[in-house]
Amino acid sequence: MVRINSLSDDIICYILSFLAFKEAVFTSVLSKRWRNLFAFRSNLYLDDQEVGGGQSFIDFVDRVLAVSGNFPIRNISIKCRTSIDTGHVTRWMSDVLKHGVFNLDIDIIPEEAILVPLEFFTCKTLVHLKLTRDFEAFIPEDVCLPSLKTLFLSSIWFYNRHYCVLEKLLSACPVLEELTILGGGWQIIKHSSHHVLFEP
Amino acid sequence: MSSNMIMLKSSDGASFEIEEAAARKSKIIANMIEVECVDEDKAIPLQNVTGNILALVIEYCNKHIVDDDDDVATEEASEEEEEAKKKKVDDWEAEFMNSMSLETMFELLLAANYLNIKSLIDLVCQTIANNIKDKTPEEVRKIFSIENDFTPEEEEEIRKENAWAFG
Repeated sequence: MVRINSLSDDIICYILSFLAFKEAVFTSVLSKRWRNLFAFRSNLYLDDQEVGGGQSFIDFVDRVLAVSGNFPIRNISIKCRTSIDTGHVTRWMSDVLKHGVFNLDIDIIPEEAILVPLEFFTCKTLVHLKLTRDFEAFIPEDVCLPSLKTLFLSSIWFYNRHYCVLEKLLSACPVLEELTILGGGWQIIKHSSHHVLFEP
Repeated sequence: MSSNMIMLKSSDGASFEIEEAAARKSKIIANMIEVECVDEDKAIPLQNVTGNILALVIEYCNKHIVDDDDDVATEEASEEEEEAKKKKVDDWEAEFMNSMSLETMFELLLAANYLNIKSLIDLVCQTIANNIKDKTPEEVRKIFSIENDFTPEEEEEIRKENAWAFG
């Protein structure tokens, strides 16, 4: 007799992906086998207004990103409207890349500016990237975003004293179709005190 | 549109004749046809699919190949016609899934997975997911014969961890 537990984990995870995330999380309590299956889905939308703010949100995001290992999660959105320690956000940003994310939207109010992990700038899978509020990014020499089509940056500060970072970044995105920069800053020449600001 | 017929043979020895266009809903069979692995006189043996499940798969494929033909014929159909047609298919699918037990659904899902028929996999998964929705964990365990192997303390711990989903 075929029961749901005779199905492979892959198939059960796929069934769970047809449920709203909250309903899928609910199945974690069914049995030990089901405990983490909800986290293996190709779309992950984490919102502190749904999950609850503060430490419970941090713990939940940590757990979901950790238990799903390097499972391909194509769309990830992390929204948090309460102030959050930057260390957590940097860690999540490194973790999401391990999932081969295509579309990433991070909208967070950090306690201080978040340094974008270097590996972001050589990510081959990113197609749409949206970073909202208070990021800092060092543009490395080997920047290369071959799939990136949409780049939305709000309040981000770019720098590298050896070249014009805007030119460097744009030349590293061969298929870029849409670029939006709101209230960010670019250090364009070798003097760290000289900045050009782009305002909306 | 080719009206070639091909033969499929289930694991328990039942033979089915099916239009090639319908059989091509299965990526595995389509692939076999592409690389000319299909001998016109011989049935394609499907080791993992029993006759009663294969009959359901074929019913699904036949239904959807007819719909695809309709699409070609009425390429410039109005939005209303499109909607009416979609509703017809949805109704048929709902009826089709309604007529079977959960156990049959699991077998159909395994067959669709083996034959690689994406739209049928999605239809069955959606139907199974609908059986999980809006139920208590106890109800879901009962419907799907899932044994709770947590101690009460462990279960309480998970409910706490994911408290927002249990609110």
